[in-house]
Amino acid sequence: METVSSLDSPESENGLARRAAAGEEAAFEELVGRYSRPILDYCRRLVGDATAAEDLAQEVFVKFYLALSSFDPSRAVSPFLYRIAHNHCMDWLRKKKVPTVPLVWEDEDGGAREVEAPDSSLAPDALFERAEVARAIDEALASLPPTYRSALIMRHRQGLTYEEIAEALDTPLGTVKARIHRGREKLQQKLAKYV
Amino acid sequence: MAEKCVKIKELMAEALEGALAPEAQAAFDGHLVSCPDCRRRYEALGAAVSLFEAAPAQEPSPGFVAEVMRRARRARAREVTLRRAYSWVTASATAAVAAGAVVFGQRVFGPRLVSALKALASPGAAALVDVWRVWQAFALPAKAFGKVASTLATAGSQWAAEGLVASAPAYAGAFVAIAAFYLIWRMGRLRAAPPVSLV
Repeated sequence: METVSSLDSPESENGLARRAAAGEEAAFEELVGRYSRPILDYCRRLVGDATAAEDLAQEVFVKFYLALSSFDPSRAVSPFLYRIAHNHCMDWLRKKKVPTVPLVWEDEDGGAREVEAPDSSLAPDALFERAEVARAIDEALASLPPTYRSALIMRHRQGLTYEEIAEALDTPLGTVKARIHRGREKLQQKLAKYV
Repeated sequence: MAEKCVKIKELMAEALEGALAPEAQAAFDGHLVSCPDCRRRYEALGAAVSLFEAAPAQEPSPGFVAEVMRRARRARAREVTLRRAYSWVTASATAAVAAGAVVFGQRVFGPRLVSALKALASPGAAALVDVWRVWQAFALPAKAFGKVASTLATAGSQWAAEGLVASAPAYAGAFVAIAAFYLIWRMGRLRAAPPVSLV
């Protein structure tokens, strides 16, 4: 689970955000480094498209950079950043047609690039089951409304508190709890044969 | 499902988060010991959540941070350009409106104003006519200023645009002066008009 907020004290993150807002690029770069993995994972789980997720995550950080001047340093960084990520991914979901994930594509130089191979140290059965579980998780998430999905991911993948999630989604605390509860039940149904 | 089991199911989310009060937690645990169905359901819920939390995350590509920095710099540069363009357009529009108002006021209201003031034949009106003459003395430079401002704005010079914005109070002053003159002229006409008979 990505738990950036629990690894780094809010004070140090806020200090970085303050310095980044003052134009210090190194501070912003440090924030991007800390949050790149969780934000990418959040985008990936929310939109269900690995290729689009990386682009979306980068755009989220650019929006974050431009919005830093309006950031209140007395508040935590993560809800502010996740709110931007949520809104950006929701915009993408509204606009998207049918997502496709190419297995092989050409890079800018015309050379072929392949999708990273799964860990070959695992036995075929374990690999197969892991892929099955991953697919079942994606299916469970896809079967939820995006706002439910978002709350569930923030809670169980990013380690945000209920209060932080409510702030990020601009939603009452009770609604957030209900959505996460509903999301867990859906997960349980979809993953029943793997647990 | 028994009534007790329904209540226990409702508590499962909080139990999973470890958020139940000690007494409620004890009652919850006690029920799970005696009810295999609820125990299975609770364990399945916990296991599903654990699977979800443990699923591997997508790794950012090696150039992820560098690409973000490149995009951020480009976006910031674009934002600065847009802001400058916006202030330039605002300054140009202000200059054009101010110059137009000065010329319009001079041509349309000037002669009428002077006639109306002369017709009043009072010391105050005479003083206002003097004010108008002073105004006219400045009107030509104001017109020229409008032309220069327009030329500079068209050239797109940033320093010129900023200078025009800084001159905004002068434009506002011109507007106020024109409005005041117009009101005085209107009052003069009202005084000169014969009373309306209702009979």
